[in-house]
Amino acid sequence: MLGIDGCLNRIMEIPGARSVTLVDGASGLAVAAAGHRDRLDQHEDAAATTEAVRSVLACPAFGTGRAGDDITEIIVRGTRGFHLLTLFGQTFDGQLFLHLSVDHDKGNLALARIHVQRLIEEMGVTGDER
Amino acid sequence: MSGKALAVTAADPGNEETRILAELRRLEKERRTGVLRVGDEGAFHVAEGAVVFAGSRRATGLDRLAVGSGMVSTEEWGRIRLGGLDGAPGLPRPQLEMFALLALFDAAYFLLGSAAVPRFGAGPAHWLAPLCRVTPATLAHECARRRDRLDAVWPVPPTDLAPVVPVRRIRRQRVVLTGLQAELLLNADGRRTPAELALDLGRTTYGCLLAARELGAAGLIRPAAVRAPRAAPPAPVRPPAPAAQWSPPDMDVLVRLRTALKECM
Repeated sequence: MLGIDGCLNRIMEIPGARSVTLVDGASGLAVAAAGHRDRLDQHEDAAATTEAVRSVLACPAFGTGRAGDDITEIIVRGTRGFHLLTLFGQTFDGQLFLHLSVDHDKGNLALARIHVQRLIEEMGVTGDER
Repeated sequence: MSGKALAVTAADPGNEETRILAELRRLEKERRTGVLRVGDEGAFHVAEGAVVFAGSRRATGLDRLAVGSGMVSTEEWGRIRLGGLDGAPGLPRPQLEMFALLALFDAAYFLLGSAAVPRFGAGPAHWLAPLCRVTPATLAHECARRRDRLDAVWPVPPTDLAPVVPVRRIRRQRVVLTGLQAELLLNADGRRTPAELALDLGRTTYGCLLAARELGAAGLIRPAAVRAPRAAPPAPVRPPAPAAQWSPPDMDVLVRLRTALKECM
């Protein structure tokens, strides 16, 4: 069976993928990463995206107010690329999430989302199964 | 009040931290395999120079993280321990890897801050060696980041060692909590410290320390009364509940009350 690094390497095969970081939101730890230029990059990425995810989670306007509502994805689009933040749900200690950065010209948002979801399921980490 | 001395981890990267770190760096250079014991506080396991596992009696262990997640039972975990990596059908490999890394960094945070003397003993590689490999430089960087983050949230170290006591009145209309913060508040009984709650909940100790400081900064738990640090690890047997305590008096209310009484007379 694939380990974490194997899974992340497969995510890097998504067309246009620039870098991917698996982050523990409870501590801001970069659990694993692929595609970063150097090791420090991934830790800075993890710390910064943790802040972003936390602010979104804490923002009441992003909820529907319905019971059981939870945030599962955050998408940030720029002119040169997009960022996909996929939250794993409550299965793990703290809020584990994946940050995928994709090039605008080579990548496709819908395709990237499907690939990431499939990989997360393969990791045995299905998010919210309701 | 010497808050710094009470911090769960040594708040300043003094000689002790560099001594343990220097030892890890030496082991990395010489590509050694074995166990680096840090006093009686725990140990780093190294394989060919890389840190492959760490355990600290101050941090929630790997077994508690795995079992506490509800993904494996205690018996299944026992089988995984006996059967090694091949005998882990109950837990997909990426998840075992993730728990191992969370436990490693959690323990390393407390071990690197320890003042104890490190002692290395050569031996066979830890059973998790094929899963995680972390360099001492990465550990040092991550621990420094964690320390800074704790202090950035709420620079009140005694919170780490004091029982989590929720406030009685919340002077706001609305409160937003993360899942972990809610778990701490819901399970706080006024006696257990963040580390004890972490052990009980099967959460990382650092994650709970951070959540407790966030709760403190948000005014949701009472600022800790300064207490002496505990010498012993969290006892499995909980002490009996103390008698109900009064919250400290609010001076403003007392002054207004006195003024009002004077006017009545």
